[in-house]
Amino acid sequence: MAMTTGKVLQPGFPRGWGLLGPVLAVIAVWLALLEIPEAPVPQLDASWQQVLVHAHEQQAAFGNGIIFTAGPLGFLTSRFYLPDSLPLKLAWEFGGKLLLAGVFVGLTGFLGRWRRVTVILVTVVLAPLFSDVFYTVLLTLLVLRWLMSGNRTRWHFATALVLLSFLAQLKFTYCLLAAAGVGLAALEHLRRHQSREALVLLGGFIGAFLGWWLLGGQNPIRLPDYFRYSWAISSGYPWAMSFEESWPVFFAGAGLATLALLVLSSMLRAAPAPRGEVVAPVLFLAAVWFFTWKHGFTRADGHVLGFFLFSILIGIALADLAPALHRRWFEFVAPLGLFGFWLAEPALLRSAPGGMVDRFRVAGFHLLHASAIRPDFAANFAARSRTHELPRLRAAIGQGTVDLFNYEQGLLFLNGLNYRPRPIFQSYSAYTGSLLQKNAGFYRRPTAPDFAIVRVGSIDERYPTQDDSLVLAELPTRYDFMLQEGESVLLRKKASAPAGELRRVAVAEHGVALGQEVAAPDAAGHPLWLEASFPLSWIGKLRALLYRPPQLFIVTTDSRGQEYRHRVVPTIASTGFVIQPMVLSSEDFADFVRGRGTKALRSLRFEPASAAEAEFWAPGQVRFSQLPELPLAMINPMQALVDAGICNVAPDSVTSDTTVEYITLPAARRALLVHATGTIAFTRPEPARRLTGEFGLTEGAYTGANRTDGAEFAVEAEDASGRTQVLWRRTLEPLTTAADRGSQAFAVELPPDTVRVRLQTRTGAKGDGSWDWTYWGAIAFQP
Amino acid sequence: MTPTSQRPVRSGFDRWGIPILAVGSLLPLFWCLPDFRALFWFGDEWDQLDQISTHGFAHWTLGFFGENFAPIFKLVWGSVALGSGGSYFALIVTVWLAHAVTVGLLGRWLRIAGFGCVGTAVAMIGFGFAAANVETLGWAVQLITVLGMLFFLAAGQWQQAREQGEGWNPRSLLVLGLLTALSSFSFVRGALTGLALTAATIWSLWAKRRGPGAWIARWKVALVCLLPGLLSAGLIAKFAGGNHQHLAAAGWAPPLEYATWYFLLNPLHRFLDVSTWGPHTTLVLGAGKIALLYAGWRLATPTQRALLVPLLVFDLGNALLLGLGRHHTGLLTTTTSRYQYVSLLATVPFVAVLVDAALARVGSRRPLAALIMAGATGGVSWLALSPWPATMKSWADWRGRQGRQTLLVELNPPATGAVPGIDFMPTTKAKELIERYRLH
Repeated sequence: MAMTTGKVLQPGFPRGWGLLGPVLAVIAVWLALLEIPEAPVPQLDASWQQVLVHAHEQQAAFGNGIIFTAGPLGFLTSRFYLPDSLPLKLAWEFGGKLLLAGVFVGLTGFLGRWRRVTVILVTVVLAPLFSDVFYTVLLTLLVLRWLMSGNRTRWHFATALVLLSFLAQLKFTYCLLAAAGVGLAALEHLRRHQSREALVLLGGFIGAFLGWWLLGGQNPIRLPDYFRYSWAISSGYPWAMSFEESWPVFFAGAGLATLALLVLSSMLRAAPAPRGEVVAPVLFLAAVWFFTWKHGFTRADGHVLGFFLFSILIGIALADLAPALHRRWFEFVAPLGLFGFWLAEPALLRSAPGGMVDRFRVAGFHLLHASAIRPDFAANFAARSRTHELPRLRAAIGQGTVDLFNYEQGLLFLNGLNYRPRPIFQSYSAYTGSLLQKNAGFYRRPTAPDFAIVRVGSIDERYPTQDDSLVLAELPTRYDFMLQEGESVLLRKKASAPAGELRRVAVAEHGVALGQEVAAPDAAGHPLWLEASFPLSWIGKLRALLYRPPQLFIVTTDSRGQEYRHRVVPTIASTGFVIQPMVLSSEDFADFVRGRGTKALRSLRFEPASAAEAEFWAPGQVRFSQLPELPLAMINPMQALVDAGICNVAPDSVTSDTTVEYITLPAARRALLVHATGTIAFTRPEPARRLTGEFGLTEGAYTGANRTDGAEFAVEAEDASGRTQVLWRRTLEPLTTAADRGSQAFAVELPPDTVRVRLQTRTGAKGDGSWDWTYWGAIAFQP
Repeated sequence: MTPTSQRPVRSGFDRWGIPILAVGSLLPLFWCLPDFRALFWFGDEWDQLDQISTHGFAHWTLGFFGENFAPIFKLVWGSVALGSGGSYFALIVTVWLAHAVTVGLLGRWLRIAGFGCVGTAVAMIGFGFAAANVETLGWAVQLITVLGMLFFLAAGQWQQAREQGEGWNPRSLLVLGLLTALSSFSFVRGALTGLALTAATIWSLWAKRRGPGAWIARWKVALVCLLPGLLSAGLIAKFAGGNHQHLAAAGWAPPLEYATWYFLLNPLHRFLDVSTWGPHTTLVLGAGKIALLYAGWRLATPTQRALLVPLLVFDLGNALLLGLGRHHTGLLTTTTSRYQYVSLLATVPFVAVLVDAALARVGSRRPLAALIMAGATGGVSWLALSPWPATMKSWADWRGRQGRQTLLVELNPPATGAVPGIDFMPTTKAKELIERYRLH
């Protein structure tokens, strides 16, 4: 690259290391990257990794059968695996990564001795904490050093093209960066009137890309769809997946981004003539740096580490990457990156050196006992299958095809079910209109799976029915409710179902400002569909471009006056989602499928994340539509408790200072968690003379780090004059008393003058309500 | 004495362009003439008329107007109000004429400071034609601001011309003192005139690395500049009401916050018709303004900087004084239209520097130069002029037609709360004033 000409470097490793230095470096990098695959678990991140492996095994078509941020070879980077693909994964870990480590060490050859050692050391210690960084840095150096540099050889050139096109298949964003690098390099050749070289470059990259595409079992005819939907999922990501960071982390990141901008502009100004040679590399570096900033600070949880780590590595390399720069203040890039890393994850940084030692130890152990990897994997797989088994669902589904909503696809693999995924297989990822339509189209075809498991919930406190909103709304017309096991609602496909979209009839439309309360219209016995669009103001657009879009919230009020605040994704809201009945739990969804609801919407309003963020939004528009093909009968929410088997008489009220929610006890028994201090109140049904039931504290209240000090359970009776007497009382202290653990039974006789009965939960003797996860179940009034 | 050969040559632009643009700044007045004719007495104006009728003209002239001690303004305003037979339109025309003179003085000062013709034109258009000034130019009591800035510009261009040319003598010092005093006693924030011009003098000496002798010689200039402002400020601090009397209770934080928001948001917020308002908008526009000021400063020549310094000092001082006097009205009022006049005046010369620098960079490449000229003048003209019709329509409805309807047409208007902009004045009082001074 022209930026490095004229500088006398002392590359390689410190004197006396000879060939040993590079070899040790390669081994160190390889061992740091080495990852022994694990058996499936049902968590979100693990699930999508397993689905990628499944997609590879099933030769699913990327862009049609599967749509995700990863490419056809992305399964190689999965940590959680399926048994049949284990050999390929091990070949990648032991062979492929060794090769990449070698290339990486080779790419750092242009660096001065101690900078090279530092870059490799940082890579070994820190890069495994956020593996994306290694691939991003590798991609960057491949473009800058082996594609754009004037010092490259044919061997470098060819290797760069092959590796760039390979990386492009791992993740769509790598594909965009690689294409940008190749494109800029080609433009540079054209600028120098070297059209033949430009054609070779472009042709080579495209050819290599197609080669890997075919090797990944993909049909080139699907490429337009792959790019189209991958672009949709990438461009929608900032709207749907944003996550706030702390102010110190933001300022560190913004400061570093500003410094990067100054560095890049100085590279252009400081470069010796002809400056045109520097434009392409600087533009590419700017693109990658901007990408890592956006990627890191859109979902600013652990992702910020990617930006800081990338900045550290590039910062160390800057002096040799662009020697014309004045070194004094540009050397702050790496330390500022390290500071940002520390602000974001201080504990992780402190444990990084020890973590490196552990990784080496574990890698060494597996290398020496490689033959045990597969048996260990099989044993773990079996154990995890037992832990997460769903016997009722498995028995009901049998060999039928099944799909799962929401993001715990690992359950399907662990239960050996015949998985037929929809294209955007985790509902939270279907966050644009085109993606929602893609999934809905899948379910409208006769090849839709025989069964669907729905587990209501979402990420980031989103309003649940947004995720896969079109599909969820249409499920009642295509599937019947079969059973509920824990949080999983099982649906079975109907023999015949309508082919087209669900019809919507508009019933109300409003211009609306943020904070303005909007009453829900009467939908006359049918569910309500809500479409809401809130455009960004000019400053909101500027923020979205340079940083990330602001967040939007919806506050719904039910007919009892209870408010619920959820995150709403603007790109989903503009397509719409079911807003009435309010579906906030799996029980609510089970009712919805059966044409009924327990929570009616009274009104709603939209709010920014904070008052200061209101200026990011322009006034919006909401439209309510009726879904005439779906019936809806609103029922007493207390009746749902009877349907769930928690009591045999609908209570008058259930209240708690904290939480009321359904839980699942062993043997899939449903119970109602009424966090102390709480009350379930009943009017005594006339012939009832006796009350029985079960109660207890959930296991989580006294295991692990959780330490309930106990809770009191009581049954009180109230007569017609309002006088109350305690019929029964018991205090459980499961932390210290073994007999108080697990479910307990009670039985009380009701006095003849009892009008009302109250089941009370109170905090323990110390008055500390922490972890007082008290529940009641199987409440039965008997004659 | 500067040899004739070293005096700047007056070009056609100086002879004709500046006067034409100054007169051209009256274009919105003619363009929206029906709306300007519909304007009527509003708010503080009723109070001033009431004071004239109660205390007499002379006594009123030397009294305080809120936190203002502005006898020059009162003399002009009162004379036109009464001398025209109660014609509000006559006052409006007076404001516009004073504004045209101000625009002309700005142009002249820019040329003395070595600005190019195109940069000067852009600045004159941006300041002189802007609909953002609707409140200053559409409310006659704002003559106070226009007069204050008129005399400030007169003093400034007088000072720079003397310092670049023949130097100081007693006569020129007297003129400078007179102009500074006229500014200080026209407008409360005119007290900043002296401070701003003193800063210009100090900066010139520092920039030219003059020795102690030059500094000592300049003390007369500084004294002449500062005295009127100090006198005015002293009188106000001692005798006038206002927030400055309660500073100890309020603390410095609210005034500083208000001042900061004002400085960062203006004039871009109004001039660009920005629809959002809040901390993020303030940060972005503020960053834009600071970038503009920084770029303009870096590219300016020393003589151009001799003009930029007093304007910047005036703008900053204005922000602080506004913070002191208006922080209790809430941050939302920082972008009130009557605050745009000073901010716009202080900012447009920095834009002029950038335009001139861009033209200098393209040199003899005529197409590019023509594009820059057309773009700069056309763009600024459009931004400044295009909002006038809609702005003036709603302004005249509020500040004119409603008041005329209530007080001149309706037979039985409400007894209180009907006088436009001054709720506490009984309607009978307003009608008395209308009768007495034949207000129309």
